[in-house]
Amino acid sequence: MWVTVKYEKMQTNNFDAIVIGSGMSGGWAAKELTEKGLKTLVLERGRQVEHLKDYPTTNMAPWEFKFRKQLTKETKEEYPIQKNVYAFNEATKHFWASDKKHPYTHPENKPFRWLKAFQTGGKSLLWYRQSYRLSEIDFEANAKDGYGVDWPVRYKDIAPWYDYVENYIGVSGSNEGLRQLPDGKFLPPMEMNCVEKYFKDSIKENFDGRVMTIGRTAHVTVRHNNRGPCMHRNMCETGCPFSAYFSSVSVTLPAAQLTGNMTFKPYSIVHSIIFDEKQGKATGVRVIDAQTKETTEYYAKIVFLCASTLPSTQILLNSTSSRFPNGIGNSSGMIGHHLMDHYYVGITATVDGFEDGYYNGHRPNGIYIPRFENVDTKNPDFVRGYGFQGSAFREGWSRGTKVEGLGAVFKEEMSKPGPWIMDLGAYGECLPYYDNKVELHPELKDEWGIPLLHISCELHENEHKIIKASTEKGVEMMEEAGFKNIVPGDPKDWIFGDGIHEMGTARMGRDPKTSVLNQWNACHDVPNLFITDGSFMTSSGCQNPSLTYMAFTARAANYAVEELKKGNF
Amino acid sequence: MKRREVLKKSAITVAGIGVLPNLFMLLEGCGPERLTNYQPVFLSVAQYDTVWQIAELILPKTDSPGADDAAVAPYIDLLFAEFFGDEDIIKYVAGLNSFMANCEERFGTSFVELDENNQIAYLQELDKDEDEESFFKALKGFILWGYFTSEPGMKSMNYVPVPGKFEGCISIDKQEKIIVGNR
Repeated sequence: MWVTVKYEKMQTNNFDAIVIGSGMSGGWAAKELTEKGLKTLVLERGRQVEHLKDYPTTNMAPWEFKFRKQLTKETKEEYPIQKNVYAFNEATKHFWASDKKHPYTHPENKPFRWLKAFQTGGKSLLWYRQSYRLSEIDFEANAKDGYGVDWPVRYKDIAPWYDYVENYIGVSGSNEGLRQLPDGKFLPPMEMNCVEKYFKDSIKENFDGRVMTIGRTAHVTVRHNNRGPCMHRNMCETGCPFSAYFSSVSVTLPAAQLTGNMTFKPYSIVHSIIFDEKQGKATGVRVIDAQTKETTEYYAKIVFLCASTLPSTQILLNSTSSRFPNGIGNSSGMIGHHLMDHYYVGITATVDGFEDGYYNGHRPNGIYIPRFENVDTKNPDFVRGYGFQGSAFREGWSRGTKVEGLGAVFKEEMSKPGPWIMDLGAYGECLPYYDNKVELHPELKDEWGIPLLHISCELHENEHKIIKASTEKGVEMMEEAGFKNIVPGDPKDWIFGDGIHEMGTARMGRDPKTSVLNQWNACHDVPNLFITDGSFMTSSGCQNPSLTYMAFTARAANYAVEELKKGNF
Repeated sequence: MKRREVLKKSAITVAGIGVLPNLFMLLEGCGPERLTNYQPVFLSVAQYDTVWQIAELILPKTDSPGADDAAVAPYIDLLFAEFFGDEDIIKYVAGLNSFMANCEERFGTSFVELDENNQIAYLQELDKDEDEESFFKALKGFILWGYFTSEPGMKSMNYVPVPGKFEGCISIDKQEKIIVGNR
């Protein structure tokens, strides 16, 4: 939809603002800054992906793939890490980064799966689109229980920005009036199916304080801002021809392009941020052309770092100067520490009955049971909490390997919906631990000469207690509902990184000695350098975080423009 | 891995029922009249015809398409040729050879030449086996996969690639097919 401005045609290397990254956060920074009139350079390390045009598989049926979307040997070799993701298949692999080209290291006893999307739009093309607000409970948590530093922000500060983002992107959901999961500005909710409705009622009847609601998801269920409505194909990760789910490719980048103020440059790997000692500010970035490996410098009055948590950390640590020998903005020494993710454990059960109940369409969404522990009561075993996502569905033909039968009747049976299954997954909050960290590898470098990341993380006692408690509580709710064959998954199936919610490596805080960013997402040390991807998160909550990244990005961009207008940068 | 290598390896792996490649080629020349014209890429004609026959018995043509209409056996031949890793190839070739040899031993004839009642009885017996890892269960899975993800197989269900609306709770009768899309 928008035109790439080729480097040859660029008139200047000077801009009002530079945005590093074009995904969930970068797209929002681009939109806000350009709409406020700033000439903005958006740098994307990967290729360009244009809305509609670059969704090659979005209308393909399974039989059009050689192995019906199952991964070929070549794909498995190219993507040994990425291939483990639920959203990775032959129809989506082109939106995931090659593991061969983008290696990283971790200690042998601390596995880490870095799931990454290095192209225009980043993971905003691939996300599961669940959109939940953090609550006052989350913003107060660190201060109250002493883990991590206090957020320099409270819910009232960010609430109007949640409103703003939700109104713009379109989030469908249902308001529940819960203090642990604030209501929002929602488009009509998607419907639960028969078993989910039954389960919701069972939970309400049997468990005080527990609520099941439909997933809050960044899909426009009705026509909204010239997008959608959702056609319920559940093919989202291939790119949506109806623009029905939010991605930066379909929504924020076209909006930025429309202003005429955006210069978009793909294949631009940021090597480092330039720091000017005299001015005490970031003055630009050093860029390596991903294809030619040529290097260029670009300059601007403000820099937004939105490359996603791990790459942003890499850029910060690689931006050394005599003022910042350990990386720009790192006088606290905190950059790279306190890496968090969301961990989960699944529980599956069979559901008797409901044989005459079915659903029509392929809902790209599930149900949500917001946190209920440590809200009004205190669990003595652990701090923080967890929420459940899940869905009920009728089994398909693949059950045919588990049941006896062959011949005409068997074929007929297998083409009909099978018994109901209820899946629940508990997603837990991860505390910010100094030891969970990412650093630059002392020797190994990538093909562009940038040091590889060495990632070292593990869950601690509080997380293990949450896993145990959440599994028990999930099983208990399913038992109470009369579900059968309740089987909890193995928590070891989850590997750090699998939540694809890596965050926290450049945390916000009140004290420059113990945190990297102030309450406006600006570096304590470098006032015109803003970091608004997951790295800013001071705590993780247990909610899916993208909506929070978007809200903080919009808020920071508006603050940056105001300050710029006041002549403060 | 080349087919001949596999045949050699599986001949060693499954003692007593392995067939040497040259002997195999010889046998192919004087088999029964084939029910399919497809020339397999990886499997021998005898192996392929066995797979074809099993697929037909599991998913026969009725008023809806059968395994042959959905080209299930060629798909399985392709899985052997390009999809399976070496370990799986060895395992499944051995499994298929055992299946064939056991049939010969028991009924004194190849599976494809066996009368249909005995073919079905033989398959039903294997189907009852509680070993989820058995070769027959794996093959049954490939047959279901090949059929229900093919165009005729998907369209034999209620194929709705662009549903438009979503209705969470509808009533259906016992004849209703799976509503399936492109995901």
